[in-house]
This record gives sequence, C-alpha cells and structure tokens, in this order.
Amino acid sequence: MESNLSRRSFLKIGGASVATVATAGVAGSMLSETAAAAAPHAMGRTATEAVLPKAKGQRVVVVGGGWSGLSVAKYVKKEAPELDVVLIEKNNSFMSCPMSNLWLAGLVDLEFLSHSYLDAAKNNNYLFFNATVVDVDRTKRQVYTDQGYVKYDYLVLSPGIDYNYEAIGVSDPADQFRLRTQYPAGFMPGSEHLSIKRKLEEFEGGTFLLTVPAGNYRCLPGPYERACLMAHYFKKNKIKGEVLLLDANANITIKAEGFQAAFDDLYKGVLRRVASAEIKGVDLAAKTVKTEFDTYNFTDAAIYPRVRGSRLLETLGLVAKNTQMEANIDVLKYHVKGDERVFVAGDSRPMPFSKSGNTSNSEGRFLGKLIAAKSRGKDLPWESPRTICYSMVNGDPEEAIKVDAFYKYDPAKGFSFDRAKVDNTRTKDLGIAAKDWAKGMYRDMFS
Amino acid sequence: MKRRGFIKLCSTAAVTAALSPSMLGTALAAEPVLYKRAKLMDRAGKPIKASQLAVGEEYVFHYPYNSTPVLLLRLDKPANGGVGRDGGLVAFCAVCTHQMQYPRKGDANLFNYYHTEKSSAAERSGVIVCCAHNSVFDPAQGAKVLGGQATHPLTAIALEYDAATDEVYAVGTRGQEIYEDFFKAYKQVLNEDYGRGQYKTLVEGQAPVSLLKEFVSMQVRC
Repeated sequence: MESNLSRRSFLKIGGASVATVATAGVAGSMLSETAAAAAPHAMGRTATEAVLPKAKGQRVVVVGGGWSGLSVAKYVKKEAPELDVVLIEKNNSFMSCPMSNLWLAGLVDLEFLSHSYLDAAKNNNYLFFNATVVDVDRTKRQVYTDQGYVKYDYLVLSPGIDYNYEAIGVSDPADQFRLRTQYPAGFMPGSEHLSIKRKLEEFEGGTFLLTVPAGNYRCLPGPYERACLMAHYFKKNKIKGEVLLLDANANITIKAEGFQAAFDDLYKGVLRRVASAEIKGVDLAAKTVKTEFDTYNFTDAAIYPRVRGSRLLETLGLVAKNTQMEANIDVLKYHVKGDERVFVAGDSRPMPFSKSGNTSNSEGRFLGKLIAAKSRGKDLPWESPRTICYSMVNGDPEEAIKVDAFYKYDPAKGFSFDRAKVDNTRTKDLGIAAKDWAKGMYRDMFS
Repeated sequence: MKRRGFIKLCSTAAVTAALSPSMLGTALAAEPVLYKRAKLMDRAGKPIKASQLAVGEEYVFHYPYNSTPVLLLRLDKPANGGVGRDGGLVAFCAVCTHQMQYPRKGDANLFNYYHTEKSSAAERSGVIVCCAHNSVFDPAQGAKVLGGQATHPLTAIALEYDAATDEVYAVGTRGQEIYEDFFKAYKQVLNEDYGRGQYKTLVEGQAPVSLLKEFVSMQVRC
C-alpha cells in the first residue's frame, strides 16, 4: 500500500513541478535577476580565498550541516582518513527537526535538540566552516561563500529544502514573505520552531491550523505527529479549541492506521483532519485559508506549503526536470550528471525517498564509502538508504508508532519501498525507542 | 597466571579458526587482548557456577572497565567461542556497534537477547537485537551482524572456564573494541553515574553479575 502511495505521490510531484519551474526563483531572484544575462551566477564570486587550515590531502567540501551533510562529512572522513573534509554551514549551531514535535509539546527539552558543530567537527576529524555558500565554479572547483572561496576535489551539496508558496496559491512575493514569517511552516528548524512553540504556549482558544502539503514533503509523518502532540497539549492545558489539520492528501501519507487510531481514540473533539484539502490561497488579513471547495478561519497557524529543493541548486543550475526543483543527479550514483566530482544528497535529492533524518544518515554512510572509493579510483554499487521513523502520537503516556523501510530500484518503474515494516499499534516501548533512536543519531553525528 | 591465560586463549582461537573457516573475519578469529582477570560472582558474593546459569536468561556484568557492560548468555547449544561444559556460555560487550546503545543501570533498556521469543524486528529468535535502530547480532556466531546498520560484530569478551570448579573468569576481549568511542560519547553520563573520571577503572579480581531485567528499569523489546 505504501509503495503505491509513494508511486502516486511521485507521479504527482512530476506533474506539479512543470508549473513550478516556470514561476520559480521568486525569493532567489536577488541573485538571478541582476546577473542573468552574461554570467548567470557571477554575483557571489569573490577573489579572496577563505582562511582555513591548509588541506592535507584531497579536499572534500560538504555544503549544509543538516542530517545529510553531518553524516556525509563524518563518514567520508571515517572511510578515507587521508581526505581533508570541510563542512560549510550557515547556522552556527544545530537544531534538530526530528523530535522537535516532542519538544513543542514539552516531552523533551531544547538541549535534546541542540548540538554543537564544533563538537561534530572535532570528534569526527573534519573542519567546520561557519559560512554561507553563494556559488560554485565547477571548472575551477571552487565553492564561493560570504567569507571567501574554498577549493575542492569533491563537493557534496546537502542544502536541504525550501518552501514553495506558489504551489498553495500565494504568488505575491510580499505575501509569501508575510506568510513565511507570521505563520512559519516549522520544518526548517530554528526560529520557525521557536515561534511555533511560543504560539502554542500563548494560545488561548480557537482554531490552530496545521497543514499537510502534497508532493514528497519533508518528514511525511511530521504534520500528523505535530497535530497529535499539539492536541495532547490542548487537552493537558485545557485549551478550548481545536487543532485543524488540512491535508492536501486523500489518505494519511504514512503510518495511516496508527495515526487514524490516535485521532479517534485520543483526540476526538480536539483534532480534526480534513482530507483532500489542499490550500489554494491564504488571506492574511482575514485569517482564512481557501481550499478548492471551502474557506476555513484560523486563530493561529503553522502553514506548511509544498516543498522544493533548496534554491541554491537553482542558482547553480543543477535542477532536474520533472522534480520538485530537486537535483539533476544520477539517481544511483548521486553525482551531478556530467560531473563526477559533485554530489547531491539529503532532502534535495530527486529520488522519492522519505525526506527523513534516518534516510539522510544512512545515505550519508553510503556516500562516505562511495566518495572514499572514488578518491581511490574505484566505484561502488548503489545501496538503499533506510527509513526508520518513529512518531510519538501520545504525550501521556508517551506512545509511538513506527515504520522501517528500504527502497528498491527498477529501471522502468523507478524507486519503491522495499521490506517495509509498519508498527501501527502505539506502544510505550516504541515511545522509549523513539527517543533512543534520536539519541543514537545525535551521538553518531556529534560524538 | 596472565601468561597462562594468554596461551590457552590463543590455542583455543587457533583451533576454532582451523575448524571453521567461516569464523575468519569475525571477532573469534582474532587473538584476545588481555585485561585483568576477574571471576564472575553472584549477588551474594559467591562464584558463579556456569552450569547453574539459566539457559536463555540475560545476565549483565561490567568488564574490562567498571562502566562497560557485558551481556552474558548461556545458549542452548555450543557456540563459536563458547565455554562451559556444554560450550554455550558466551559474553559480548553490550554496546551496540552501530550507535552505541547500551543497558544503563535503572534506565529503560533496548539492547536484548531473544532466546525463544521471536524478535519482530529481526523476524527470528536466538539473536541479540538493539531496538534503537534494529541492528541484529548472532550470539552463536561471535555476534556477527545479521541485520541493521551495524558494520562490525559486538566485541566478544574472552572467558576462561575452570572445569574442575565450574567457575568462569573474564580475561580479555576479542575483535574490534569501541571503548574509546563509548567513553567519548557518554562522558557526561558516565561521570554522573560513576563519579568524575571514575568510569575507566579496570575490573580486577571479581566481577559481580546481575540479571539484566533487574539491572535496568524496564525491557523494551522489538
């Protein structure tokens, strides 16, 4: 059933993106408009080399310090200690998106989610460079940042996602900006999450709107888990009102039975899910959202629009056709088509894998081995990433459901789920395992 | 004493390797690294008798350091590297080689042996499963990896068996150790549990053995 779903989503994604391509780049226009004609991405290039310790071997530069980039950086260095690895990340500390719903509802503290890039780099023997990447010259093999350029022998781009507000009927850039800042989606951690927690803690009643986008969005169960844990918070704090979950999808996209059981057993009257209700427009002044057939009022909201590949890929001219503005790479080898020194991993990959932490961590292990092999003139066959994903559906007692799946590849049909196991019965054991899953992952990336 | 143990273990390892080529590449093919010798003791402070350990039960002791847990099992069949009258007594470092999950005193535990009970994650019994990320190890085969993302076997604990007294000693380790990574990852927790800087004390003389289910607050199985 899941592989069917995923296949259908995949087709849907393909159709949607054609429209996206034509209108994309609204927020990325600062770069593209000015420099468009002659040199499409000359704007970010500086003549200064970044100040970093001298490379002691071939240098692998990893762009993006999320779950993907952290895992790739660690495992490249582990598999090939002779390589020099630099992780470039614009944030100066890490905040985890996985488990952040637990933190919203007060089940873990912020220290659980927050980790130091300095620790990650020190403990795994690579360099952390706190800078923002603006461009890449693939001929010169240089990555340009706001603090000078860095030369590379191999480059891994793990820039993650961006939001696509066009796709939910918000086309005016000023409206997009307001929507993004006033009702943040909360799937790119940092201020978005902190703001949503504050919204929740200040909420005095009414309708708290959450949305589930169409397409292959980041963290399939995330919006459903968030709805559950917010509803739990409502109950616990005796808030009069409801969590309204407008779901663009007809069916719950993953662990459907487990979520449905939680909605029915635990949150009747507090949580309402509306199926096949994709947002087609938002009126910020009136505080309403439109779907195809209805209009819904909200008191406060965290609106999750559709997801697309990071705008950095677009700046670099690396977007694949028929994707959600995701990377133009060989789907089994991860390298940019025609350039075997540049790889893209994590949530801006075009493959229809679940965009989850465990997927990126396991994929990062494979990329570590692959790049180690490449640097030695060898190659490796594709290995499936693994998606182990817990969802805490109850806050008291803490109970979770779980999916554990691999992927398989068929040249004609593309990717589908393989060996998928779903635990749809919520249990305390899975609740404990969920937290230990995360602790293990943080140990892996930061210790 | 130490020297004798070393020779004995070496010759056992050599015989094992010669008899079963499939064991090459697993922990048991490796020569043991010797630590201080420690006799396994029960809670009352009496020496453990190997033949009185319950088959399939999970026991825990700490070795070679006071903070590094060991899963002690008596399997219902002779195991590669097993000791005791029936050759089924094995011990492995109870720190998962994937992301270092381990049984912590008084905490919920996800790292378990499934004797006759079937693990749903592993889809079989007779295995050690870490329920944090579903890594599966075979205790009868030197804890080789059967599934999950662990890339190497659990570190085996070298046991010495005294057939005359039916007593058991921990004497060293075989295979890849992860103690330094373990200490690095859990420094805060270990300082809290054992006192600042006290978690790297080598166990010597005696090693008290507990029932795992009594050592931890609850058993999480998968």
